[in-house]
Amino acid sequence: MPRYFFRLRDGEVVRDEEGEELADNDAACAAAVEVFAETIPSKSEVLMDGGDYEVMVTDADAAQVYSITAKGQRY
Amino acid sequence: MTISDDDPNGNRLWAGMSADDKAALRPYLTLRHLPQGDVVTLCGDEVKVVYMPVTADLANVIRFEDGRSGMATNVGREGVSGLAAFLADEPCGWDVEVQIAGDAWALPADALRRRVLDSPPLLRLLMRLTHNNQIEAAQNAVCNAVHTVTPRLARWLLTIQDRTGRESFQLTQDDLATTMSVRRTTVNASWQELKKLGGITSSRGVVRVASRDVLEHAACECYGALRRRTVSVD
Repeated sequence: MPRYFFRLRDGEVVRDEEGEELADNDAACAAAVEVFAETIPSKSEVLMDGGDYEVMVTDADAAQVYSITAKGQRY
Repeated sequence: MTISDDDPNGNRLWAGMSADDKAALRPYLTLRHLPQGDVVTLCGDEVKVVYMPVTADLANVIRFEDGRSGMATNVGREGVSGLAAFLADEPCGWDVEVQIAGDAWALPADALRRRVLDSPPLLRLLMRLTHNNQIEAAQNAVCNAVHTVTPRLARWLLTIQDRTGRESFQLTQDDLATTMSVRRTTVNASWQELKKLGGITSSRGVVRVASRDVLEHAACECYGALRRRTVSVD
């Protein structure tokens, strides 16, 4: 199975050195959505200040596979 | 599994038993080394043997049809596995799986049952322990629904340390992901946060608690709440 790497960015970046073996790109996208859902509750400070939060997936060649972003916007 | 004849008082339930109860049960005890990942009691099975951990930690695991699973509660040196099912004389409601490899005292459930029938103080002790377990299960259920992952991870690492009596333990991010019912990447993010704060260090699958103060500060209120609400059995 191919290995995918996740990067979480909320101003600071958390890289995943180990990566995760997943069936295909679709599984990697689904995993990124799950990670996004699990981690976004702790990002309220950044998002309320108008910042953004992104979970990105790359493959073993460092090519981008998927990205999901939340952006806060005050009016 | 290896067997030796060390002192069972490392388990607090055992330590809290009367001299008479200990004398009646001691001939039936055997010390076992439980490897990580072993399921010592299957969901739906009769509890034939109960385990009183000393350095092992046992997770009560709920499994879903799609293959996912998570730890509902755990048992370490403060308690005994399969207690509610044993007391009710009903099948176990979850898999009891070794989360942290280590030693535990195995006791045939029949021997414990016979003794409980003759010893109201022992029954009282077990009832207090199952009361504690119920408080913990309720706290865990709401904690998992309400609190974010980093405070839960900090709490869990403190709890493992309390229940195994060790400063470091073999535990990978994959193990923690299963235990906490989140993806490993999510565990990694919280792990990095706790490392950066100086709460833990890790190397080759071994986690060491570097600062309990840091972890207690990072943990959700559930850690302190359970310590206050549960009663000591020893």
